[in-house]
Amino acid sequence: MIRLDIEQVSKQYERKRWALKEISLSLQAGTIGLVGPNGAGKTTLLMMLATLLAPTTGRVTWNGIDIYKQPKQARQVLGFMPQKIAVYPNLTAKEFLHFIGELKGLYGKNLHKQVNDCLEMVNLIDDANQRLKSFSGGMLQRVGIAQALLNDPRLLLLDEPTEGLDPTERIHFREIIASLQGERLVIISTHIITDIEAMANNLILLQKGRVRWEGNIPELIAKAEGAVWTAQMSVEEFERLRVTHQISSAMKTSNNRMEARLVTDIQPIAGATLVTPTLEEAYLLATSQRSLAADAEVK
Amino acid sequence: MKAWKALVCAFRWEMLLFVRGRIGWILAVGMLVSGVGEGISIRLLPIQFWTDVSISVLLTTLLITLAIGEIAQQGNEYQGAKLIWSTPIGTTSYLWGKYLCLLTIALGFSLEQGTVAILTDWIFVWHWPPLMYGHVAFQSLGIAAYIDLWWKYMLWPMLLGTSLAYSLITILKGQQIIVYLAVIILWITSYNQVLPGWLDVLGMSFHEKSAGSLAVALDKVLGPAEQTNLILTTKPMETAMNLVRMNILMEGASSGFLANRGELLLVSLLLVWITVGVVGWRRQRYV
Repeated sequence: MIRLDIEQVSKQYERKRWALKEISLSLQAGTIGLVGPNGAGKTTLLMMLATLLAPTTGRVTWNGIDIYKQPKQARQVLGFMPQKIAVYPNLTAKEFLHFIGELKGLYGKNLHKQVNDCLEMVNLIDDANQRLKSFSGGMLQRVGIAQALLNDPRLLLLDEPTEGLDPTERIHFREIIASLQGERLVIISTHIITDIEAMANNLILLQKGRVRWEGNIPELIAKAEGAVWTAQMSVEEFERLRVTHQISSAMKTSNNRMEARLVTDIQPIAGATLVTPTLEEAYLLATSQRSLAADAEVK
Repeated sequence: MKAWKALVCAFRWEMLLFVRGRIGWILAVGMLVSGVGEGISIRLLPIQFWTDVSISVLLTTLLITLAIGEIAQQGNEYQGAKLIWSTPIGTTSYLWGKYLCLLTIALGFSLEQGTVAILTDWIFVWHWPPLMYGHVAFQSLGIAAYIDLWWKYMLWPMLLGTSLAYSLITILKGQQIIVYLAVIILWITSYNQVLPGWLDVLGMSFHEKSAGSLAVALDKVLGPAEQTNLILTTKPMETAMNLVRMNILMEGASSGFLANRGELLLVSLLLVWITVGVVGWRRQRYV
């Protein structure tokens, strides 16, 4: 049984800027998507869970153990992939993984096996002996995932893992996450909503350092029912609506009009019809509806 | 993970990173040039012996220290800290392992310089006399004299230089310019002997007296032409080399010199200890 409890955690940086404010979450095994706009506090939260940052107030426990009082124990079950994966360009992929594996306390045959398994898992076994400086951005991301998986972590933290990946690589990454066996808690921070839809069971929405929403994906989509509209309009009308409404997608039709999907609680234009919301639209609704209130609260 | 395993792990990987980098080759060439220069200049102009040694110690230790700063910087450059410190490895073991690796590299290169100087001195006598320097057919200074010079004058600045560069780069999170300026200022002021004895990193202020007496003794043995490298005749040059050899072996026995060397050792260890403390504190306080 895996349990990560985040209790009333806040983090204040210099100049009294709060990166996180009174976050409380209780997480169990599964894949969780951590989403939110830039500056929401996603990276700060992951850095804290990776024992690289301590909260200003509050505490985090892993199966009842305070991870800041006993960080070594937490680090033994941890796999962390930072936002920008740091690699030594003159090492080969295999050497780099051996290095990280040894830092994680793996040795001998076990280390060798884990390195090979992880390289295979991320589809890099044929490039294992190539120096990392010759790797593309996508390949480096895969090396980043491999190093995080080396110690078969129970707590896997991935910060923007699909950033810079092309569509094929992104799909491959999703497959890797889906193929992970065993009981573990995977937290994936991203602002690419479609990734979350494909990988996560649950969602945590952070905004301005606070948890704005937590639950499963269908619940969030259900909350947006009745708030997503589609309509055809003239270009002038579209330009006017853009200013006042949240538009989730738009395209020009063959008769030189605009067809757009709008996220709003009330019918934005005569003739607009309700449609089934996507997760992205539900996310837009959740972040826009609360932004003013959140602003006021933080101030 | 056992502490010694973590230490060996840090040592091995730091060494591999160094071997794969370019700076090792540059440094190897630099030490080769310095060693050849030292060997030839001592042989050709024994009257300027201590000047040659001072320049050689200054350039060799300064170059190696700056290179150590560059090597120590690699971890910061590639932002490996987040990955390393999110693993269970112990701070003390990791930092000591890295330091010992850097020290091995520094001492290795200073030994290369010394070995090249010995070989130059030796080859100069052995292989070329009939062709180019037939008139320089006198005994070489000898291995013992070079070893003596190495451990008295190269080893300790190397120890301090490695600790200083490593500590400052680590504590200042890769502020190379500040580190290099600090090292260059300390080395140059030490060379110019403007610092008090306890701050004399290169230790050159300690042989000033005997260097003077050596110059007087050599002056008596060598004629003006031999002193300016115009004609080097065998008999007086052998006498000169013996004088230099004896002067080297006599050097470094003063209590002030020994205290200075001991102090450099203590400061070096203290710097590493402080670095371990600062990084450990940062890691624990998550700064």
